[in-house]
Amino acid sequence: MKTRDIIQFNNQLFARHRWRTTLLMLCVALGVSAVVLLVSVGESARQYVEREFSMLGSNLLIILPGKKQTSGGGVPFYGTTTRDLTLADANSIRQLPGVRSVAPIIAGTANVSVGPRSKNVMVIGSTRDFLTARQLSIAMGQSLPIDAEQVSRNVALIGSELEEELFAPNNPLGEMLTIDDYRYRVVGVLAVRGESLGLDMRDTVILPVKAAESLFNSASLFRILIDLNGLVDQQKVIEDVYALIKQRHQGEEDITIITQQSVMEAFNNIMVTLTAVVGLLGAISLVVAGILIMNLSLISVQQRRTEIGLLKALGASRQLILRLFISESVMLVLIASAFGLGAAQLILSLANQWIPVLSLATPLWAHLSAVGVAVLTALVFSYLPARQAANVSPVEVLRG
Amino acid sequence: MITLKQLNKWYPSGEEPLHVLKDINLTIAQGDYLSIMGPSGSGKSTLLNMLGLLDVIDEGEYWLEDQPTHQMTEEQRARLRSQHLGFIFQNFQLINRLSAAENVALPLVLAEVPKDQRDAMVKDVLSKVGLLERAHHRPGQLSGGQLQRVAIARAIVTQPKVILADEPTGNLDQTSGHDIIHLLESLNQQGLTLLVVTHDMEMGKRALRKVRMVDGVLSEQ
Ligand SMILES: Nc1ncnc2c1ncn2[C@@H]1O[C@H](COP(=O)(O)OP(=O)(O)OP(=O)(O)O)[C@@H](O)[C@H]1O
Ligand SMILES: [Mg+2]
Repeated sequence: MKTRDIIQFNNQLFARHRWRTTLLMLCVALGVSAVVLLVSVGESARQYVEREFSMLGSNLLIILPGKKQTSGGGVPFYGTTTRDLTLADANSIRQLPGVRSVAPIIAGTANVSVGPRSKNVMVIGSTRDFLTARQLSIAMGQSLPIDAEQVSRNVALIGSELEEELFAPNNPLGEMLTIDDYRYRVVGVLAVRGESLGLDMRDTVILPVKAAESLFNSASLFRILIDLNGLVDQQKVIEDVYALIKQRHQGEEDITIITQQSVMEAFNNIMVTLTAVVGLLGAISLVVAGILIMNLSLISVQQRRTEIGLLKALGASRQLILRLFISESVMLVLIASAFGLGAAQLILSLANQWIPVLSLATPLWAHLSAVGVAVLTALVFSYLPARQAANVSPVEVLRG
Repeated sequence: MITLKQLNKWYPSGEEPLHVLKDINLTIAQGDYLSIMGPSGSGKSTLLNMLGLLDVIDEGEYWLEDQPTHQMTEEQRARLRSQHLGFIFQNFQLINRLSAAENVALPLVLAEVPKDQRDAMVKDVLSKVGLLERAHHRPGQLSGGQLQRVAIARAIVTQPKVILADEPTGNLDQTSGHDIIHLLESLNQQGLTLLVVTHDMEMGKRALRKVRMVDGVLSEQ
């Protein structure tokens, strides 16, 4: 039997069993669109996160105090006495070749108050370079003083939300706020910028790093951000920093350096896995459709024993009967997949129209794998009924 | 063209298999018109299935066109069947979702005959059975006699050498039965070998050769 004739034969079957065909197609279409939709959501989330990370700048190194054991290896003997990272460490890193700027960070939470209003927020002590590294800009007023690392000036920048809560409707510039027993003059307000990963800058106070040292009564740094020159060998700088700190900390390499890239890659891996898992959940609905196909096909083989016997009496081989039954399922799944993909695209574009920030998009591989899984399901689950059909004896034609 | 030698067939039933065909010997020549009669359950249909290569024989030999079909695989027998044999059944066995023409074309479709060639052949046989103007009707829209004529058209469209008919008039009234008998006989006169199992005394008698089956034993009169 030629392919064109097989297609026509199957079409006539579909037309004859309209209800059964519609039901099966609905199941498969639902499965396919579920896979596509779930993968799209996962993938869009991943892209969103990636965009957020890339705003940190790809030339950024982050130094954490303490050695993070990433390669197992048991409990380190020397890792127990972690030396603090200090401003002096930050200054010496600044002398390394390839380093453009260094932003030391002290961080803690504290109660900030203005008159009767108060709020518990994150307080960050740093320098202007921090604002640059995190791509924060000043909406009104000015930035941190240039000598933030040398002089403990009692000035503060505040986030937009905090400004709202502590000062509205008054102009905060030049006003005083109190943190613990210290008083600071507000010199600037941060511009609202979409959410930034990790820290919500809209609800933060930023002080000169020296001032934060006094506030928290500690010289230990929470992080050091290093911004590198564009074309520098990142790995080389990382090694230099490790060596420098080891030398400064009496031979102990008690810091961890993470790159913006490594964080992004780790996150990407998580998101890709998550998307795959979610897509798999969608695929389960396809397997359910497959089981339905198998059951209905088994019934159909029983009902069509006489017809199969007739086809064999008229010269159809086992192979041909096998091909007929499998192609019937595959055709059905392909048609249903087209509907499923169409429906998914429609839902996605409607969702994007209503909530543009979602910017949902389907990667090509989601389409391909959804249809692929559907076709695979059809092949697997129609094989058993098809083999049963192929085994029908031509004598069966006389039983009708 | 057909030779059966010491053919035996058993059906599994309970503890002891049912011996349905017992040492059948039969030779059929090209152009023969053979009727097979006998009481119900005597094995007539079973014999016809054997002759039609629809079922496997358990013992003995079946030579068709000098080929030992008893030594063939299922696929080989399927090919031989589609080349040389045409079938007519008591209950027509037309596929209801297909039109008369599509039903007739089915053996050609299975044999991958090209479409234009196919259409010409279908038209030719439909006009032979007098149903050209019904080509696009579904089986549900045709009478019993017409249905059997469509079935005959399907049986002869591949230009087989032998037509095997199991009670072709069994489901028809007398008039349509007569029509069918005449149609089959005219095909026989054109050289087609005709093997008919029938309860119809008239048709049985008109055959050139009459064989009788009683309890699995064949005898020619
Ligand atoms: N597939 C089968 N399995 C078991 N027994 C069978 C099978 N087919 C037929 N038989 C038995 O074999 C015997 C012969 O059956 P067959 O159909 O050849 O008779 P028949 O002469 O055609 O009868 P009728 O005139 O009623 O059609 C019967 O006893 C029947 O019950
Ligand atoms: Mg019978």
